Amino acid sequence: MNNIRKYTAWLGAGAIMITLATGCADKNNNGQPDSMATGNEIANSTDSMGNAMSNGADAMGNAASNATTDVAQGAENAGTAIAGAGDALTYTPKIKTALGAQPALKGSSINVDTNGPKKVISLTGTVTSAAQKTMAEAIAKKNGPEGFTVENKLTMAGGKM
Amino acid sequence: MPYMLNGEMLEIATEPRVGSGTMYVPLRAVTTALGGKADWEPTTETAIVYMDDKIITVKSNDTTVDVDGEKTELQAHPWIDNGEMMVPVRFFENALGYGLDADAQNMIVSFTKS
Repeated sequence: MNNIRKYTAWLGAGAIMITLATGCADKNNNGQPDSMATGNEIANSTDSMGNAMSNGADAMGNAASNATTDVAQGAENAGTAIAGAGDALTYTPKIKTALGAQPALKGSSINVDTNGPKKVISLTGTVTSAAQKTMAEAIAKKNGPEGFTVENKLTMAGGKM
Repeated sequence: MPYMLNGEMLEIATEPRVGSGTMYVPLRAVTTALGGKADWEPTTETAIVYMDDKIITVKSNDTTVDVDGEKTELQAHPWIDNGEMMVPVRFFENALGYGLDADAQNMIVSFTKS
C-alpha cells in the first residue's frame, strides 16, 4: 500500500513538471521553444534599450553642458567682480585727485567710494554751493570708468540740498 | 544778430563789447547758445562751463582758465558786467576749439564747429 502511494506521488510530481515544461515546449515542431520572444519583440526590446541609453546619454550631455555653462557664468561673474574691484582701486584715487585739483571746489569735503560690482560711484560729504555739487558729479563722471553711474549724496555745509 | 554758428544766427541778447583791443562776449549766453551749460560758483566766484564733454572754470580778474585740469591763458581777464561774466571771445577758440571770426568793426562774431 505504501509503495502504491509512493508511485502515485511520483507520478503527480512528474505530471506537474511536464505541465511546467510545456511552456517552453516546441508544440509547433519548428525547432524553436513556443515561449521564446519573436525577432520583432527582441528588436523592439533592443530599440527600447537603445532609446533609454540614448535618453540617458542626452541627459548626461545636457547636464554636462549646463554644468559647463554654470562654470563659465561663474568665471565670468568672478571676472566681472575682479574687474570691478580693479576699477574701484584705479578710479577712486583718480577721481579724488581730480576733485582735489579743482580750485572751484574750495571749501568742500568730498569722499569718493567706487563700487565695482554695482558700477556706482558714490559721493558723500559737504559742499558750499549747488554749483559745487554739480561740478563734483561732473568730475566724478568724467574721471570714472565708463558705464558707471554717480550717486551724488553731497550735502550743503550747514544744511541739506 | 551779431552771433553766428556755422552760418546760422544765434539768439543772444547781449552784444559783444570791445575794450583795449579785445572783444568780449557774455560767457553764459554764448555757452548756452552753443549747446553747453554755464554755472556760477559763488564761494570761489568761479564760472563753470560744461561743453563738449569738457569742464572749464573761469574766474573774473584772472587770465588763467582751467580746461579739464589743464591751464590755459586768456589774452585778457574776464570781468563782470551787471551780473554777467564777459570773457574774451578767443576763450571759445582756445578752450573749446571753435573756429572763430571776430569782426570788431561790424561787431559780428562767427563761430564754426565741424
